[in-house]
Amino acid sequence: MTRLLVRRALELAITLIGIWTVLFFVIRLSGDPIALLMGPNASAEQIEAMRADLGLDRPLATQYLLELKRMATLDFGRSIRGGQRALDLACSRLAISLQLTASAMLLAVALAIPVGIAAAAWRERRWTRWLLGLTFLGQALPIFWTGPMLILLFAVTWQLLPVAGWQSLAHGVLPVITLASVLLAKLARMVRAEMLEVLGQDYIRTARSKGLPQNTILMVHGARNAMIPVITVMGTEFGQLVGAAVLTESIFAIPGLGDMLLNAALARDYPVVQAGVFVITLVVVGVNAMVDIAYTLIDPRVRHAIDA
Amino acid sequence: MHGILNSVTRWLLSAIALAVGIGASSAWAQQKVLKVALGSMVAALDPNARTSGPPATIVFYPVFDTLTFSNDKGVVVPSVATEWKNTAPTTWEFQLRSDVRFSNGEVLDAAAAKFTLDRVLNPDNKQVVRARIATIKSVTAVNSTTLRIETANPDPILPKRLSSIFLLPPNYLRTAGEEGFAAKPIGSGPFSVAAFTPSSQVRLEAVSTSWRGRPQVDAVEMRAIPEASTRVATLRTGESHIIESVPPDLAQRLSRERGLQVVAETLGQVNLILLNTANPALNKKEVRQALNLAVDKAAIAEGIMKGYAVPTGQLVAANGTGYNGAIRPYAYDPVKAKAMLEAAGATNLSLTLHTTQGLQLNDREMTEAVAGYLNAVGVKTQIQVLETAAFVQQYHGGGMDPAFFIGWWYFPAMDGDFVYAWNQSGMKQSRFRNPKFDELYTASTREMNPGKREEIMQSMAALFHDEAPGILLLHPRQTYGVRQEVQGFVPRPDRVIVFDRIRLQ
Amino acid sequence: MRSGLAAGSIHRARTPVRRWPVLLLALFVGLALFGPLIAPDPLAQSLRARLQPPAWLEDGTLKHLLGTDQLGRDLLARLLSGLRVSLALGLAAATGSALLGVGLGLLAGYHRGTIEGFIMRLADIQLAFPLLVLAIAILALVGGSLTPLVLVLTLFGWAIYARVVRAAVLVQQQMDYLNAARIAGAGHLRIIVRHLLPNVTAPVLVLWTFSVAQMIVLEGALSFLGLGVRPPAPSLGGIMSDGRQLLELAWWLTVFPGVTLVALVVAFNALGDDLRDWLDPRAMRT
Repeated sequence: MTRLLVRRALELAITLIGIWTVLFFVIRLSGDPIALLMGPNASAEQIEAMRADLGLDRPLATQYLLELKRMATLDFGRSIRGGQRALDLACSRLAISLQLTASAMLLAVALAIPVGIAAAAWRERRWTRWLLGLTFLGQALPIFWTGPMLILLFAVTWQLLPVAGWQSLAHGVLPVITLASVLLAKLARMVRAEMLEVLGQDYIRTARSKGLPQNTILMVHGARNAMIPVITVMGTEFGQLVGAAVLTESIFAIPGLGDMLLNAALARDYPVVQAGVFVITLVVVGVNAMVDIAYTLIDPRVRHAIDA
Repeated sequence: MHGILNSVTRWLLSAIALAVGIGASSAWAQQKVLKVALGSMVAALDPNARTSGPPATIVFYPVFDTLTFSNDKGVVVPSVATEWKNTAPTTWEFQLRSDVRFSNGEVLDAAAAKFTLDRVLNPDNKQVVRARIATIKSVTAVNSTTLRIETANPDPILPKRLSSIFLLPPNYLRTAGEEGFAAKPIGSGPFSVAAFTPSSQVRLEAVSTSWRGRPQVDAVEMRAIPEASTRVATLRTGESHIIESVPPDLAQRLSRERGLQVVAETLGQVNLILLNTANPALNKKEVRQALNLAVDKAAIAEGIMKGYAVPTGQLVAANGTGYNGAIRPYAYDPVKAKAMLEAAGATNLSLTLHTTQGLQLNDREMTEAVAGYLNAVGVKTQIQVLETAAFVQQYHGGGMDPAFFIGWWYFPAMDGDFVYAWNQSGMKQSRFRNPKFDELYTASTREMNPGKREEIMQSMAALFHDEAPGILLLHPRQTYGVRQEVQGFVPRPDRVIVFDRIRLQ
Repeated sequence: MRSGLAAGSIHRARTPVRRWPVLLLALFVGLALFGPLIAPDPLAQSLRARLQPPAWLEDGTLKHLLGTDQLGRDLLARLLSGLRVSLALGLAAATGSALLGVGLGLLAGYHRGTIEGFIMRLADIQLAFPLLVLAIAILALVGGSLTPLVLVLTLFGWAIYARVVRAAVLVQQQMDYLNAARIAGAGHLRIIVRHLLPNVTAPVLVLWTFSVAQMIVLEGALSFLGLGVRPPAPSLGGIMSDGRQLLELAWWLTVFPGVTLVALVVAFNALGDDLRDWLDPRAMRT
């Protein structure tokens, strides 16, 4: 157990440094943040001055080593646009993004399980196929269409919910639904596949002609089994969800980490980008690690396989 | 018995809670909070330092003061400085108000003004706004209400330049430090900052300490909603009272909705396709003029900007100094354009127009339209969309040959100097090399007589029009969506919103 | 008979592959290949004819069956062109990441040890990394042409293949027939190609089908940010993104490409589902 934890911590550190390095080089090589900051309508001498001030005129390798040293002390520098400490900015926005992403994940799971089970148990029925199809629709429709459409319907036309922001529970409804739709299809599909497996074993044994299982124990057993693959992918899906959250936050004007990251990347405010990615990676890899550890606690066979 | 007591208590408690809740919400309801949705929000509340221009100025003007101010029509009027005069060509004397206080009680006198100006002028501070007042050589506080400014060379537009400099409290800055100030800024305007989320939203609350008087709203909440459809939605539901930048296609439809209106004002801004005159394909002015004739600007203004743009033949609109009323935009004459191209031997022309997407309203759409018109007269044109950062980099670095879409602005000073400056031969950003233009420009920066200066600038406009170092397109008009509850809102050419006089029904 | 389909499957569902996804996809491929040849020029703009509604509505004309966009370009023509771009992009990116992922997965599963660890770590990083930021940075550097876009999308997609393939290979490694082959003197490459590769075909095929759908949607997201396929030949997602400010006013600009996009994605997903059910529902789980 301790070996697992130590291994995981080591992997976390390596992952963090790895991603950070990729980001460092790509962003540094990709453009000049100072010029962008100044914009086309400002003068050129300031650009040189600021660049020197931020140490951007030194060779890349030197910058890398210096920054690496600073990263080890969690010093990500200051935002080029605003001057605030980059890590502070990232952390201040984290809570909101976590709320959004976690809520979307929970909603997706809460809906995927019954949908998946229904789709498997009553697979011959048309309505389950339509239900599953609806979830596919949610995944296929781009977020930048679903979001504004939901706003148009529920906020503007029917005036049931607020349009944008994150001030109350009501504000959260539309963005969470929009974000959850991205994940729902995949999870529902997984649950259905798992349930099919479970039910299949039953088919062979009981040979029911209608294919309508009456056994509630079977359903519960199936549901529990269905959770396993869902939990397994929670870690990686969380990471993908964070990406989709960037779009959601932009559409609904939610002041989260994704929105901040997007603005910072477009403006090449890379201290903020690095701090933001660092925080996200930490959270995602951390969640992954926790999921894995939880998994091994549940299933000793898996623990064995990992250690092998 | 126990049960009844329990339920009675519970009922009582919830009634109290409800009453308190209602009481609190009605106290809140008395508060008149103006809600504004912008396209973007400033990243830090440190004026002068990092950003100059909107949307930062929209947040700064309510909180801070400037020595001079551009009024709604773009004319520079007194603000903290009540009058000014030249005692010598390079010496100015400004008289200041004596009743200006910062919201923490500190006095804004000539010494405080000097402090701010010195701070901006100090190259070590790397303040972005420094370039605007780089003509200043020294600042002296003669007494508490008199400020003397010496310029290196005669500078006819110094008062205009000063409208960009926000005055800060010296004592507070010294004690709180840069970070402390940025965390809790203090100004002398009629609003103070109550809450701020960088690049996202800000809440300003009215104060009574300002010489500008107490505003008629209690608070202003501004937030960034980059997605246009979301922004418009908040206007329709009443979540926003004022929104900036209504997509032109929606404006007409929105105006017809009950309780809303769309208003607009021509900005101190110009959009054009800048041509690299050094490129052999474009170094003949007849070719460049032909390109101007090939594009139907009126159709672009009407079609893409839905009428929210003014076609132009020069860099400055009627709202700025340097406007030449005699200059009309190039006519739309594709036949003549083709003929001119043939006459100049430029029949095999092939161009790439570079543009951003979303940096300016409809930048890409306008560029695509221009490409369409150029293709129609036989110029093989394609467009290349660049990401903003790459675009800016290449702009400053002299790239994006041979043509690119650009938007220049000359607010808040509303003086053509700021846009003509880009076209001097010496500038890295300039794609124009014309000695006569340089001569005129330099003269305009030294001419102290306003009438004579106006003449020089009009000559520059005429020269620029004739030489056509760009395909001159239009001056955009900034649109706003406003709910009928809002009174006293006036759209301005510099995108600033003056909250002082806005009332909510 | 391919060893892959028989080996390792205790139970197989007897559901056949449905016809409608296959037919629909065939239709789309046909439209993508031949549509642009018979449709009007998608680039022809006319500012006087902007935002015309579809032909069957008031103000619509037969000249523009599905209406026009903000620059007066025919929507149907744009749609066909966009379909071509979306499909090509999805297929290229999915295939690219499949090739990369399968290769790395085989390597990892076969050689074990440090190589495996390294590759799997990379896979974890790829799965955890928020693509959008990386995409913004890279695409902004290299510019908005097709090749870097496909490269970025490929970078995003390989890990899942690597994981699945490695897992499948690990299972196979236990089998005796491999040891028999080794004893008989078969080289690494021969073993990989002749024995391991056929066994991973099934799960890879299923993944690939889902990948295409995913890539198409992903490119849409990048188009939303202005980083997808650049004009004047945008993808379906790009066309939708162009028209997104006018959801109510000019609904045809988003609805028609949207319906096409959804149909495309749903068809691929349905096909993937059916393939998985048909080949082996249990082996497909990662």
